[in-house]
Amino acid sequence: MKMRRSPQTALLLAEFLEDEKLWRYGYDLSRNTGLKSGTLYPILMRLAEHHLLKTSWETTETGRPPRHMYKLTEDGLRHAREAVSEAAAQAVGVPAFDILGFDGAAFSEATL
Amino acid sequence: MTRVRKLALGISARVVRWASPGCKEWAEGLAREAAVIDSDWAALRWAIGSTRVLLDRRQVPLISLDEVPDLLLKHVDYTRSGYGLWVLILQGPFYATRIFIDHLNGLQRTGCILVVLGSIVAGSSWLMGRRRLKLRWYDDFYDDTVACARLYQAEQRRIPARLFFLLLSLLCTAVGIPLSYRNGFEPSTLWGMAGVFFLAMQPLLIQAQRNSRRRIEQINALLAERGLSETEL
Repeated sequence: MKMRRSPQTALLLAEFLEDEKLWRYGYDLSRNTGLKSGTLYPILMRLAEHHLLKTSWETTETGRPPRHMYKLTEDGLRHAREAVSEAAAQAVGVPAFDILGFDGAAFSEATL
Repeated sequence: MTRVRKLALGISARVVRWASPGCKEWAEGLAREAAVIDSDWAALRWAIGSTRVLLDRRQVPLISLDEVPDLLLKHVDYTRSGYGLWVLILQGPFYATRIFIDHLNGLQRTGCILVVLGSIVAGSSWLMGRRRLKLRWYDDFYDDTVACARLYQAEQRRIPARLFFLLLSLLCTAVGIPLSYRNGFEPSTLWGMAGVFFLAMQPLLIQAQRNSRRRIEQINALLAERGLSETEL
């Protein structure tokens, strides 16, 4: 099943790509992306469901309750790079002709 | 601890308690974050946002194919017992008798017919399920994990349809009974209520569909780990 790529998902994936090897906390992700917990967690859950995200509980020795941490899997990193570049292309506003591989110059010459 | 912080932690604790089995770990993660957020108001906002997890009703993900026979056995027992459908089924003969014995007007007769229809729908759904799984009651089928997984997948695929028939039967009964007695309800009000009921049940149907799709995918992934072919969704 293909995963839906919303702008919020792209934002979150871009945040994960900032440091690919680091385990991230939910609140830090929320602060850095500006996503609310109610938006962030469903995305994280969906990523994990598609085996794009791995989760772990922090091991602490200070008696503080452990926190849940998140990191992209290899597949997740691949997916994230694709999604982020796709989102960037859309943001730049690549003309539809170029996306389709249509030669705009040849078209104008032929019609004029 | 401030009141705002207490409220935030209280909300988080309830979210953990009420989260569905498949979301417990995530709810726990959200709650732990609420506890480490410095600002009380930010913690409250975080906790309120975390209630969104309660809307997602998920089953615990399957870790191994060896869990499937037990799940299938439960499903088979559940189907065999009729899961309370007999209440809907038994009403049918009673209201069918009323059509012929009582002096009913057209509207009341329609109500009785609806209840009978509901009973037929519930009965057929139950009998079809029983018939399909008849050979799986007591045999040694459950020793074959892969066969169990395939059958369980097939049954998962049928869940949304079964739920739909159950809701249809409930709807017929819920509309039919008041109509058959005509307790001051206007028919248009009843139909309106039936429409609202049916619409309100849509999220349940969608959720059931999602959950069964997740189960099918999980089993597919576990089958693939064993080098077995997946079943198409």
